[in-house]
Amino acid sequence: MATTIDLPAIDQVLREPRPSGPTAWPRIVWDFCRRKPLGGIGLVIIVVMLFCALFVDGILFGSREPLLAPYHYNDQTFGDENLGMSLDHPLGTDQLGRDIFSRILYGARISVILGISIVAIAAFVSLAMGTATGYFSGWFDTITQRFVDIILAIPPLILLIYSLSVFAGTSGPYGRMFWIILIVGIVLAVQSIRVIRGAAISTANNPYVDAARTLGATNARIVFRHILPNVVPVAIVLSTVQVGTAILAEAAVSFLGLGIPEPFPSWGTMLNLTGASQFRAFPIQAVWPGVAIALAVYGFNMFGDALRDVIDPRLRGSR
Amino acid sequence: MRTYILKRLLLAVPTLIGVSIIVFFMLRILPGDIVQQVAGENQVTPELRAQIERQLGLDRPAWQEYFEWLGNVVTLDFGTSLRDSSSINERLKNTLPTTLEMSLLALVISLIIALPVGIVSAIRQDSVADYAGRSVAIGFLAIPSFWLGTMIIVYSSEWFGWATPLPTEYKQIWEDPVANLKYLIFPFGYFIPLGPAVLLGVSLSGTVMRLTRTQMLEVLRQDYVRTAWAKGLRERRVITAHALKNALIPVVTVIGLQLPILVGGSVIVESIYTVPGMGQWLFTAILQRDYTAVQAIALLAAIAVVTANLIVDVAYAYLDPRIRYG
Amino acid sequence: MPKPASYWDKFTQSRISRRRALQMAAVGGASAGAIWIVGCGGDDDDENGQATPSGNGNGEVITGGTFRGSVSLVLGKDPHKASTFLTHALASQAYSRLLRFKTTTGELRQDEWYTTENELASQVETPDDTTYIFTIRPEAKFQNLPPVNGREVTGEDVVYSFNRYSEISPNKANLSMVDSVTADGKTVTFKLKEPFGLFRNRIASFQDLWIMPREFVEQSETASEDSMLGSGPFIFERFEPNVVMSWRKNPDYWETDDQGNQLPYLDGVQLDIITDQNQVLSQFAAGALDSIFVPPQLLNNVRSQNPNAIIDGAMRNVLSFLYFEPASYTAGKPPFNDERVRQGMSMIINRDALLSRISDEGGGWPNLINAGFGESWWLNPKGDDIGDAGKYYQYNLDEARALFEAAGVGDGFNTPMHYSSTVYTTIVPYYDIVRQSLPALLEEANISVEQRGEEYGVYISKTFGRGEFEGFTFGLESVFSDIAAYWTNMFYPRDAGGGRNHSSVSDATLNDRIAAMLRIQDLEELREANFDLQRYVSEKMYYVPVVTPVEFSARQPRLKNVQNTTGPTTYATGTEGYLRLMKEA
Repeated sequence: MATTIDLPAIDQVLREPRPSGPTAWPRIVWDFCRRKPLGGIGLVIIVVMLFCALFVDGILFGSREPLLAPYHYNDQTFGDENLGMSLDHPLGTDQLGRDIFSRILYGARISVILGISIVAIAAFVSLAMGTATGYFSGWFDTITQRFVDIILAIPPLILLIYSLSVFAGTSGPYGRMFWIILIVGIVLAVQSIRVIRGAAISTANNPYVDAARTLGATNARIVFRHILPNVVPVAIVLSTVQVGTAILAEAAVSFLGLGIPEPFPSWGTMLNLTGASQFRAFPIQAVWPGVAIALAVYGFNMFGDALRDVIDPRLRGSR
Repeated sequence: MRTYILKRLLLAVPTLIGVSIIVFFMLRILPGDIVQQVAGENQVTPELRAQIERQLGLDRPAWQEYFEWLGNVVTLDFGTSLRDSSSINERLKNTLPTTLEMSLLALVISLIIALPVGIVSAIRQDSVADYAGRSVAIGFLAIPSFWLGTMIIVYSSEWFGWATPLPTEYKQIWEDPVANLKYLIFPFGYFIPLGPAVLLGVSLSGTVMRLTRTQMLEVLRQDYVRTAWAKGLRERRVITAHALKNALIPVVTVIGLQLPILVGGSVIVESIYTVPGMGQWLFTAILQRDYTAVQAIALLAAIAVVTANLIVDVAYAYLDPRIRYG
Repeated sequence: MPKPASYWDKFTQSRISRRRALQMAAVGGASAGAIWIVGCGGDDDDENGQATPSGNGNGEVITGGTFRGSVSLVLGKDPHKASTFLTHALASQAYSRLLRFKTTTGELRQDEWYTTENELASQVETPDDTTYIFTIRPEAKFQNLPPVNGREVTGEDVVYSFNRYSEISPNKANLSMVDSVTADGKTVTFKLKEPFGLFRNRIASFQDLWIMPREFVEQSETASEDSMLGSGPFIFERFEPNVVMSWRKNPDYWETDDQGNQLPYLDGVQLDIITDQNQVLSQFAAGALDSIFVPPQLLNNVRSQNPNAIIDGAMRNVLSFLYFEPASYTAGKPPFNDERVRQGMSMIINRDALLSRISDEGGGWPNLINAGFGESWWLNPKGDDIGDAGKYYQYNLDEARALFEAAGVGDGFNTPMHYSSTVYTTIVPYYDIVRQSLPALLEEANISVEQRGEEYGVYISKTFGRGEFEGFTFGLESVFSDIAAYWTNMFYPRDAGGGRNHSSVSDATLNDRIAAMLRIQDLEELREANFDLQRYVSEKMYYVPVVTPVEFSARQPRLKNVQNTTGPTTYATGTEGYLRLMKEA
């Protein structure tokens, strides 16, 4: 992880002159993929996942009917339990006669929603707190740092298990989702806050900030016009990678039975520990959710890595 | 140097107190009545409730209990389990070394795997080796440890009829080192390293690989390295050695950062491999609302993390004079 | 009353036997007579259902060996304090009761299930129908450890145990018909407030009156939780949480077999505490564990991985059922206040489909009284005897919809469904499959379910224990010692013996009829009254019973002289299971 950044504005990130015009963004993306093939792969994975999440059923068009997925995630057919792979069921069925391929697709939606929400909260909190404490310093900084220390001292998975069983023991899936988003969001925020703070501090030490202040700029103006633009890219890079962490965290608690409950097809829930004996008889049923999780996390990490390499010139490479 | 250590120590104290407060009071807002749980499936009459509350010490105000608990903890008395009145200290004697050992083994394994890959990746940045290394690293951290563990257990049993050893067969390392290492590293037979410590180590190694690479790159970008590079091959070799030494300093912080993840990861790995350690104990204790046990374990975990960070900070300061005197 | 040919009959006579025959063929037919104890041989030997004396067909007694089994959870050791069957199953290793339930090697005939036999008591006299005089056998002694040091069990011990039980046991309502207990040397007299036909069953119940010595219990506040010390066949050895619990043979145990050999035959019992189903199965395949429960979906898997293992199927006595929120009965809250809706809920459950989803081996339909109780007490919903009330169990989508229509919810409704998300999954493997299948079944009538999984501790205390839930719950009821206990515990008011009245059902007519039934002394008459009640509640559907699948256990062939413990005895494994068990080296 980059610890200190000295950043020009994002315009200067790319070495070639920035493309302009209507095909600007596609060319930027293509450029990116060419120079960072691994990142490109990650990007493809992410796009596929988003596509699945959006179109698995017709919710964008107001319908709950499965669209991309051949079946609804809880569509049980008595008599069709534990079938193998077939044209009708590309990945087979589970012990309740549900189509596994469909469940994997619906699971993408859960992971995307949770991943993005968690990271949004983490980014917001860490940006706000990190910038504030980095720029203002003083007792506010010290107190915040102590809170950060306390939260960092509790191993995150333990805090998550703990909180979920305390606060979400009896709530339905939406309650659980809320708490997962909140707790993992806070934990990730706390992990990022140091980095953001570091970036804010180093930017705040720049001469032009002093100059701006001398010229009469208010704190708010300085923060928004000078500090944030340098700090946001850092946050973006952190966030992209953290989506992967968030997905893993949710999968881990669902695996332990404290996360998204049945029948929602979170990939982690599909691997639940108590169903492990089911996998003895039908091991292949455990393969798909694991592969899905691994691909998703892999994609976000690859992409985030490549993004960071591009944005942080110091780590750009020997060329 | 001494003032530095002292300062860090002083900072650690409010952190630990903060953790103890969170750990203690969060449990008091639990839904699910511990009294009913102890009584079982039937009704709790007022007399039964009063009796159980008395036994469990729940009839006094929370703050009073907190200070009493804190006092006991400071004298290393962690109380008795609410579930079955057994001594927590006793159980800690058996479980703490287990989890500690497993975590250390995992750490070592992860370093063995990750350091070489991370360093090579950094030195040969953007080469095929680098891409391969980074893919492997991300692969390792993307693959969920609980999934990998489940796959190992299920397939090894189905294909080879292997069974993971039972918790009764676990021997501490001072009792029977061979059996101990076999349980943690080679449960299915010698030369088949698929044990819990290995799983934990492998799942950690992804992150360590990347962190090592990043730290190494940062060092390699230093001006003095660039200069040496420009000057010629021979120096490059020497500088690589220097760079390595300097790069290993941040690796120390890498180790420190892994602690919380190790502690969390041990919950999963211990559950899958049925290792009689603190992770599995914590998980069942949380589910069973065993207040006292959860408090003890969570606090100890936090103490471990804080202590490790302290050691790491001090080591870092010792190795990097800039911190010491800066 | 002629026994009706029932689904259950067909099941016991033909299905198990055929399967066992196949097993025997797989093992090697010639030695079948020697190896095979339970089942085929037994039927012919036991004309009068007496327990076969020791031996494996050759009259040979094998002593020694430690039984290796597993449990997934140990909650406590004091049977007076606990209400969970987990603790009571353990209790029977170290403690005794006055009476126990009959077991045998070989098939135990159904009409003999739940028959009591003597344990600590050598005889029971009933001079009138409210007085029971138990004489404790002269050779009954406590285990030879301080502070009891092998002394004799006396009537005083029974009095002490009864008083303690009545004070602290969550189940104490089960013996609330006792007015007084007095001791005189080796006899103890129970005087009842009213006649109670099934009193012997209550005394034999593994949930209630365990005989515990005063000087042991009163050593300290936690003595009875730290250890176990009684008059049972096994002496408590050690307990390591999440690891193991073990007992060793009591060398001074007072009971002998018919040939004078001292019991138990085993040297000890060790239960490894394993929560992971995978590990249980692996350890069994590796030969470390002697006997395990087999999750139904893994039956074929276990058979193929363990070709020599002996696999038994039986319907346990755990009742799976739906119960509705108390407000339905106490405040008339819709929709479950309406009998028609409850009936519809029952008729929309395709029980046969559920059973076939669970395994290929089928099972029975409980009607609140579990199919595992055997047809002596359980009225088969599929049989003829249940009469009209049987229709409420048949899968009938049209009728269900019509009922919902008539009740005004023809368009369906939304309801929460509570369940336990932990513990049951390992102890009762079919729970999860059924629980997950229910919403799909209910959808057929546009009933959409909001699943509310609760961790076991929360579930037990809040939902199961206090009835604090909304909508309905899919839960399990652990076994009762006798039929009467179902009725009183599940229907009486909560503060008057209704310890398991989760839904706060209050049907005064029903309660009166239950009280009347309890006074009947003649077993046959009692049985009929009980059947009548079953017909009545089938119509009311206060609780909607779901399924009782055949559940399987597997054991290594080296176990001999295995007692048939179907029926209520499955839980008092110490005295009724391990006492006469033999393990070949």
